[in-house]
Amino acid sequence: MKKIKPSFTCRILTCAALLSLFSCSVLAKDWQPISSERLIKLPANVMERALEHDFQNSALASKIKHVDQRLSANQNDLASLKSAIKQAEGEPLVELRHQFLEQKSAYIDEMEARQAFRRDELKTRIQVYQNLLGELQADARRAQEPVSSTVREQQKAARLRMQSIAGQVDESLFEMALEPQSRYAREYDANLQKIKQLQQAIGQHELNRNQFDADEQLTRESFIREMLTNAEADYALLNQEDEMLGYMARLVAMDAHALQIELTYGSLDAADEVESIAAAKPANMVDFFVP
Amino acid sequence: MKHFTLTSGSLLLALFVLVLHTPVYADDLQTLKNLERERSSLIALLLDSSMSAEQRNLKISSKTRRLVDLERMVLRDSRLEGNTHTLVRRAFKDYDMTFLAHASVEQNKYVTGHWFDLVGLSNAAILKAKRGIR
Repeated sequence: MKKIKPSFTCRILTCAALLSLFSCSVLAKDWQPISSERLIKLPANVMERALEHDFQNSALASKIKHVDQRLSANQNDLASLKSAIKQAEGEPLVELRHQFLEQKSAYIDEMEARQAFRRDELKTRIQVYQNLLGELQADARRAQEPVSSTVREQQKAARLRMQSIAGQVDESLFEMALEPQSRYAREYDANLQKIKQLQQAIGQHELNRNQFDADEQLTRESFIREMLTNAEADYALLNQEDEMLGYMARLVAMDAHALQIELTYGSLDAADEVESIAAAKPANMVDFFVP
Repeated sequence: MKHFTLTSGSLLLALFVLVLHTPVYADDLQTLKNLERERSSLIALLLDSSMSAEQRNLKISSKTRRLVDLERMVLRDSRLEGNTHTLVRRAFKDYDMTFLAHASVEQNKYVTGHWFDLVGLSNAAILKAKRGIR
């Protein structure tokens, strides 16, 4: 039989461990969302809040917040520069126009960075919702499996049989001169009463009532599907906003080019020239020649 | 041992991967296992010829009380819901045999008599039986 050294076996085991760890964890990202196994256990309305809370605590959310702060400052600068341009003339006007272009360019850069972060966020959200839906569907499939459904049917029938005979069983134990109820049975009955009270309180709780829309009783699956649709709609809007940013960038480039030409070759006030040429046409000069 | 063989190395690797990816059923079946253990000890008591009938009846009575509780625990255990483990499937396939205490009351029989009936042992059958080589 072929012999291999222990170090080789160790290396194989280490590789296997690393591969397994790699398969269990996702590559490091700015937002590692709460696992869908944990989310699926939460009530539908809490699920969304838990995911949102998880996101707000992530590095990705703080990056978006920082970009938002910079964008807000940028927006203020653009507004003040625009009003300053209206009042400026000559050399300062050129300087302000240059700054305005720079600020517009910076806005587009920041906005593109924000779009990239938002895209990451929405992709992760969509992935989480898809995983949740997948798990719900897998549960439903498992429930419909022939073997599983047979066992469920048998368990249901067994439970009904036990419930119908439980009273007689207790009586027969009493006849056997045994203690009428064991500690388990006594405590189970007492707890059952308390559980019913708690269930009633849960049914009347405000949070439970808010879980579903007043008009439409949303199932767990349709609730998740709705969240997924919203995330996908946001993602589609991002693409549209990207298109807008593309047009903005093109306009900034054209403005910059126009400013460069103007600074290099001087302003071409065609309107004034046309007016002066029009005024000097022979037809307009006739009055000067007629006695 | 100085060297591992290729086979033992592969076996270790397979075990490692198996341990990582095997779902855990042990705890889910605990109530059912407790019931099976109690049921088997009741049957062992029935077949124990070393004690008197009075002693046996006394012990069976106390075991029945415990069996009733365990049967109810199994039927109320949500972890067994739809579980397709062989133990669960076999237990619920034959209610009368698994839930001896409840089924015996249903049949209006003493728990021991009910079990004897289920396995096909009756006074007549025992009396008719002859000792010999099968």
